[in-house]
Amino acid sequence: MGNLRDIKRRIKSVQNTTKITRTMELIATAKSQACMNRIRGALPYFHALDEIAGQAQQAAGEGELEHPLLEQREVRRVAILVVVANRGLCGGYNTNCLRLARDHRERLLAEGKEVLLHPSGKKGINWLKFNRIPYEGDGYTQFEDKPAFAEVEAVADELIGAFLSGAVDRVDVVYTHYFSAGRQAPVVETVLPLAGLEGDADTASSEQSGGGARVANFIIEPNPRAILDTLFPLQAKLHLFRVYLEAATAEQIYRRVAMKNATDNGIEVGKTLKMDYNRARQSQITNEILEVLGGAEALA
Amino acid sequence: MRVSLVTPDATYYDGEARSVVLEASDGSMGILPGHAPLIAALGHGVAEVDDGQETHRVAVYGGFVKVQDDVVSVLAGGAARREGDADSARAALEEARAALARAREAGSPTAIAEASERVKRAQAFLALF
Repeated sequence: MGNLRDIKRRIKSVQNTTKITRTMELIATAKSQACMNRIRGALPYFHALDEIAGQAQQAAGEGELEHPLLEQREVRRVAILVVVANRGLCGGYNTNCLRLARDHRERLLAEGKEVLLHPSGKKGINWLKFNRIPYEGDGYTQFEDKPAFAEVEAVADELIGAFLSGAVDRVDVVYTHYFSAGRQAPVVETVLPLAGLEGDADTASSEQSGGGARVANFIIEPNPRAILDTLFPLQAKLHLFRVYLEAATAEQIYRRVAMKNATDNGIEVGKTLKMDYNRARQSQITNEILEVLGGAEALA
Repeated sequence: MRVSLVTPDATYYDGEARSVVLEASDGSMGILPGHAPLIAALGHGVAEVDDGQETHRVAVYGGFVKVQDDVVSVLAGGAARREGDADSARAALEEARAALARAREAGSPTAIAEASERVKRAQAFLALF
């Protein structure tokens, strides 16, 4: 039962914690909404770029696709960009992703490949340090809930540079993919070499069949080749930009869920403590009455 | 015609316009309503969108433009509106040039590419003033 004042103090502290978690839940809800809007806002850009890619490829003719970023080399060294959060209190967000990253790394090592890790997010950096796994550079910590394209570009430039110089033969990314508002899960994707223009042929052909007479014959300036040359690096950057947008969204959703659970739990604990408190108070009153009665009897 | 000027994370113009002037990779290019379908790579420079009342000027850092059915989509690799004063823009350009010179001395191709991109951006931005 504990004494009354102790229980009272615990009730107060649980209530305060619940207040904090509830606020964090609300903040995370608002931020996850904003993040989802940013993904939605970026989609037209991605689609338009895919269409340009499809058109340029069509104009360039099949089989002419050659670009350093498309080059499939024998894979000896792989760079892995691991995207997790700077902060915790978001349930299994960091752990799940880091576990997948570790498994992926071990699989590659078992295949006899060399692995260069590029962690992004303080939690990832600390995890690697704790497990004494070496990583490249200082890691990236500049990404919060609103990753800016220019910032992602800087990271992308570094990885593209490493790929082009031959320092690595493949660039993978491990991050939490945003499937929908209800489902997010860590995944591994290959950023470089680019997978070619998958899906673009579909958009181009569906446009042709659907559009019938209004198939646009685009004037292409300066020429398809030049378009594709500038397009490929941009595609790699956009891939990473999408990765960061989705990871940020997933982080907020995870945090919202974690904080909701904490809040619910806090309310539950508060209820139990309140009951304990009432019980203790009641038994104290009973005791006092008994004492008074006993005293009266002794006097009589 | 409808004109949108966007980067992956921001919209700089979205609405009706009478004309657009863009810096294509090989020179200046004007687009008026009724333009033939076009895809072009953009260079670094100032885009001018005339909506009938005023001319919106935005520095565009590479990217693409697609014209189809009187819809002009400018997909910029980066963009900036006029901000600050000409002197600081000039100073930024000077600094970018200095960084490029240093990168050339160091001889790393990625650093040179990065620095020359910065110079091009600073030039385009300065052209806003």
